[in-house]
Amino acid sequence: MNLVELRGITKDYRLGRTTVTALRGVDLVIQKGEFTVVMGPSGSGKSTLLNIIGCLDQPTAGSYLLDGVPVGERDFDKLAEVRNRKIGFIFQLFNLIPVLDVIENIEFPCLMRKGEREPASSLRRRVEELAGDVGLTPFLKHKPDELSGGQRQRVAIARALITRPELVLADEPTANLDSATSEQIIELMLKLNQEKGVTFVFSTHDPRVMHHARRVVHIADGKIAPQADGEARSPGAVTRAV
Amino acid sequence: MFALIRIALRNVTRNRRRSLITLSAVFLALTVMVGVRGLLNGLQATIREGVVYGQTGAVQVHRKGFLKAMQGAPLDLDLPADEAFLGKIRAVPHVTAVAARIPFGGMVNHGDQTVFSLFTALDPVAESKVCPQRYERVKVGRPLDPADPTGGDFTTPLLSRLGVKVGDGVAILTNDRDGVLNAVDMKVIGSFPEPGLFAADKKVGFIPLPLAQELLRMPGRATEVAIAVDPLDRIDEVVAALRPVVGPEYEVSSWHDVAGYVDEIVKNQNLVLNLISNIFLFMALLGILNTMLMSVRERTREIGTMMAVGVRRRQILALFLLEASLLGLVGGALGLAAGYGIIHHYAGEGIVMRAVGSTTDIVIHPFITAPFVARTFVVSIVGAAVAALLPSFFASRLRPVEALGSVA
Ligand SMILES: Nc1ncnc2c1ncn2[C@@H]1O[C@H](COP(=O)(O)OP(=O)(O)O)[C@@H](O)[C@H]1O
Ligand SMILES: [Mg+2]
Repeated sequence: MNLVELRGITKDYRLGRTTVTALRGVDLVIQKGEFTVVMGPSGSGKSTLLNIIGCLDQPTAGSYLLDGVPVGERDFDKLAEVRNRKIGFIFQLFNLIPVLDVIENIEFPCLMRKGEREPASSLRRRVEELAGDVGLTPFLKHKPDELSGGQRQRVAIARALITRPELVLADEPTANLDSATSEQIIELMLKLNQEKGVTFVFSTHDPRVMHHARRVVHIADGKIAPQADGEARSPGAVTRAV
Repeated sequence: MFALIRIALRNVTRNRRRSLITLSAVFLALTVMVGVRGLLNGLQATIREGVVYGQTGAVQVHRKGFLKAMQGAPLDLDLPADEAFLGKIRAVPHVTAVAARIPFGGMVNHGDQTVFSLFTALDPVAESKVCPQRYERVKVGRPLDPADPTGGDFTTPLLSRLGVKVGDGVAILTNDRDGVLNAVDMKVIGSFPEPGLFAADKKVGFIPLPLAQELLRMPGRATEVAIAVDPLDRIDEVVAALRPVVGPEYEVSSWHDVAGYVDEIVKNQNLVLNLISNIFLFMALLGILNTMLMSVRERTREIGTMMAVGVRRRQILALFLLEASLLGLVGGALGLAAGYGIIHHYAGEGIVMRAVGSTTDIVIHPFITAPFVARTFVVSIVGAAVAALLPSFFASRLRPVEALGSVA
């Protein structure tokens, strides 16, 4: 099933008189359960693409169906709810909330949720389980500034997963990590993709990441390169540039 | 909401130095507000009591038109100073004492010195119940005494002008109500430095009512009835109840009417106090505004992160308003406590002060009321939130992508 369906997405940034076009007609379909790597040099439009997929930003033109539902001109709070329920984010700079410890950071999106909330005890159980899955059990009471970069990114991964999202977007999550740690973080995400069926979209400018990828979407100058896409590393993943 | 409160609390302690500076500003403002209010409360109470218990009494009864003609101290606008009339007044609920008086002008003579002065004829016993502070002001000798029918008390400036000491004899000269000049011999039995607060004329004498009635040829009459009321906040009730009792030929006035300048003074003092308070409060709130602006700027990426994980705009707004309110709450509570502490420290012994141009000390017992404390506390918390409104609103209107891109 198509989880993400982008058609003719363009994005312009206005900078005074000039207009920077970050995306020029992107078509992209992402299936549930896929692990997609968006690869491209700096400035190619990866962040712009992920922000649009993540409902953080809206395209200048084109259509976007998320889980079959058009993401149109919705108001901020509606989009906030979509982000809260359907999407998890992992950022290059980890973006944890500095005053919260590991447990509190992980549970945070669930506590900010609108409407009825999960009972605290069951949430706490899931948080601890998830913290275990990402290898943070010894650090539950640590604040972000007491953790290494890799540990912080593990917290961010757990925070992205606590809402049981349809889709996790990771925008260059390894760009601030050393290569050994990067490997571990990528392995962790692959494992979560395989074991829990979480859909990941992972952007990077580091070609070494390709070794791990089942599906790589190359982006350059705001366009997806058709020839590069479709080189599925595993026959199981159906990928196609549309 | 609880999660937001937790984050707000921790954020307040996050930038300790900045929070402390802001807290000190709020603290200082509240301390000053409470301290000055307490001092003024004490001062105003002293003034009020000095006037009510030392000059006017709580309520006065005169013949109609007397107060308008007060400067001339008219003797023809008189009233009965007998038990039939005074007893009716005394029977009104909350009236605790009734004293007949006659204010009049005249001269005091001793040897070849004669000085114009103002006199008040007082019932020595009743007056001590209506205006006990008059008697307390007598520093040398003793106050009026029913056992001493020709003994009078005079201000020290008057006595020194005459070259008279306590114990000496003087003569009082004045026109009676028919315009005939009369005189009576008296003994100075006591002296007091000043007739009372805000008294324009310092040459004043108090003489026993029966002696004055003889001098003025108005036996059994007076021109003023001063009335003590307890508790004092029942004055309006007493005034209303007295009107039908004394009838339409008489006017019943509270001390507010008789000594209107006191309310005027209190009003002006409060005006100045409010100005000072508002300036201090304004500075403190500017501090909060600045703190919150800096906080929002530094935490832009954090705000973006919160928005990314689905925090709604009004939650962001609430978070920053909460943080500001916490500063207002903590700073306010500490400031109120400090202000209260200072007031409490001086409340017992009192602060001794002397008005400009005065020769007597007044003692101020500062105090504050619970409603004032509650109101000031609320102002501190709500004011802090209001001061943070703009930065908090900015924070809540940030665009997530731009906020996330912030490197601050
Ligand atoms: N807020 C913005 N304002 C103006 N130009 C922008 C903005 N964000 C991105 N761009 C431009 O859009 C292009 C794509 O940027 P981005 O999506 O961040 O690329 P990447 O993440 O691949 O480095 C770049 O040329 C960048 O300069
Ligand atoms: Mg980028």
